[in-house]
Amino acid sequence: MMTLLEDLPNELLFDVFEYISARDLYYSFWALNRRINYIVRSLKNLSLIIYKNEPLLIQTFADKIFRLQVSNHYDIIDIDHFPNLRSLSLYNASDKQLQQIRYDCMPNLMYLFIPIPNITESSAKLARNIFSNQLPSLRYADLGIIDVNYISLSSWSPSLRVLCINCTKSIVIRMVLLVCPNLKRFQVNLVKNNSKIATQLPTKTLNHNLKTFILLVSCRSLPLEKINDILLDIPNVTRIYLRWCCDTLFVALARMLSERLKYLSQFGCNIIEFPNDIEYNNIKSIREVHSSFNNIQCTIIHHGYRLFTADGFHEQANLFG
Amino acid sequence: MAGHKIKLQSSDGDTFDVEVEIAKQSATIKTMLEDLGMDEEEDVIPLPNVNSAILKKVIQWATHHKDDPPPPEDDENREKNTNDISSWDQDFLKVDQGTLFELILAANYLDIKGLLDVTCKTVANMIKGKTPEEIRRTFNIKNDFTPQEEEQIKKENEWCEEK
Repeated sequence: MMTLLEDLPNELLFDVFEYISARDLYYSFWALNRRINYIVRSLKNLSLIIYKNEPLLIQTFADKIFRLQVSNHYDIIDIDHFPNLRSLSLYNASDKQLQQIRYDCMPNLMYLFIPIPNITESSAKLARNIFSNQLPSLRYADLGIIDVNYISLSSWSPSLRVLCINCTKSIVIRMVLLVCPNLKRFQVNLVKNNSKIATQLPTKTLNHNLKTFILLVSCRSLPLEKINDILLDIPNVTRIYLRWCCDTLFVALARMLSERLKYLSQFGCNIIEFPNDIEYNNIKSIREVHSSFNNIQCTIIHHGYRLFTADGFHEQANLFG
Repeated sequence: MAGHKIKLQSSDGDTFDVEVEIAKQSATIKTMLEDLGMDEEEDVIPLPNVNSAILKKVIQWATHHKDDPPPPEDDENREKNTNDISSWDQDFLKVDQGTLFELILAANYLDIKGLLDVTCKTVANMIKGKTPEEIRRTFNIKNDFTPQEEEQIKKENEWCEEK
């Protein structure tokens, strides 16, 4: 007699069902028979992507959802219905949803992907909560825009290990490093550099234990000295990726990296250099500065601009990878 | 020892000569070899829960995957993906449902994680996107709810959808 799906013991049906999203389980398997319902009800750690409001699906599985992605802007989705969330991705989050990201609603939250495009009262409050350890299980966060005012230097967020932010002031980088002592991987997209701020930071260098630093500078006003200040705080970095427009010779940056980062083992870049002095600053002299620069390529030489690239590691690698 | 072989005996009495390194992809067999010292060519390892046809398929799979790195440990924080089945495995698993479920049972009994993962993924892919009626027909699932229970489920559904 042929072996059937229902001949598998519960433990193996659990193994199969773990590959199926809550939605597929609900719409394919719910109310087929008593045993299947029991198994589906017993599952934990389900994933759910919400495209629309589905109250029955949400009510049936809310306390079993482990990974939630809300793909569109639905004010009607109350994310505080999911007490066991470990991973939350919100695209175009509403103020109400931002307010619901709290320890009392989701105490086990480890991963938060919430690319906040604009500064609002709710996004500011959430960021302040994150940087003051109000979500103590949070390890990985992609937060979108972060302003200086979101971070209090008297606060502390020891749980964060991986962080991705956008900011408009390079000083935010130092502030984050000050309040997140256990950060291992930090990606910053500096969209402009407004240095007119009143915040006073400690002058002492940090000796932060950060291992991977990714700096994507989308403005042309970040001088080499600012990069030097950042590097002084992160001497233990082993992997660095820089996207930057360089108004000095790239070889000066290369020497600075080599001097500041004693443990550097992987380097990636996408750097445009615009004082062009090929005679004294050829690619060979840059590669000779440090062994991790060996794969740097000078890919474009055009009207005095040179583009240096190196795939030491992929800048868009999975933040949580 | 390269090329060293052992004999595996199926539930219906057939024996298969298999290289030790290939057989050791089964944690069950590996434990037997190590704990019971069964590493001589004349030793026969009985596998009473696996018939000859399925054992032959398992050996074929293990032989193809003999140089694979060990599969990663389960990480509950990682999303389980079913889109990463190799084309060889997809072709290998184009079998009837009975064979597929017996392969799952055999992979579980022999504790071959890679085979268990890929067979479970294959079944998951057969399930995705189907309606309950299609699932019931595809997998021959009997309905054991009483009419009263069915009515109750229907009412609950209506109540929730109206909320």
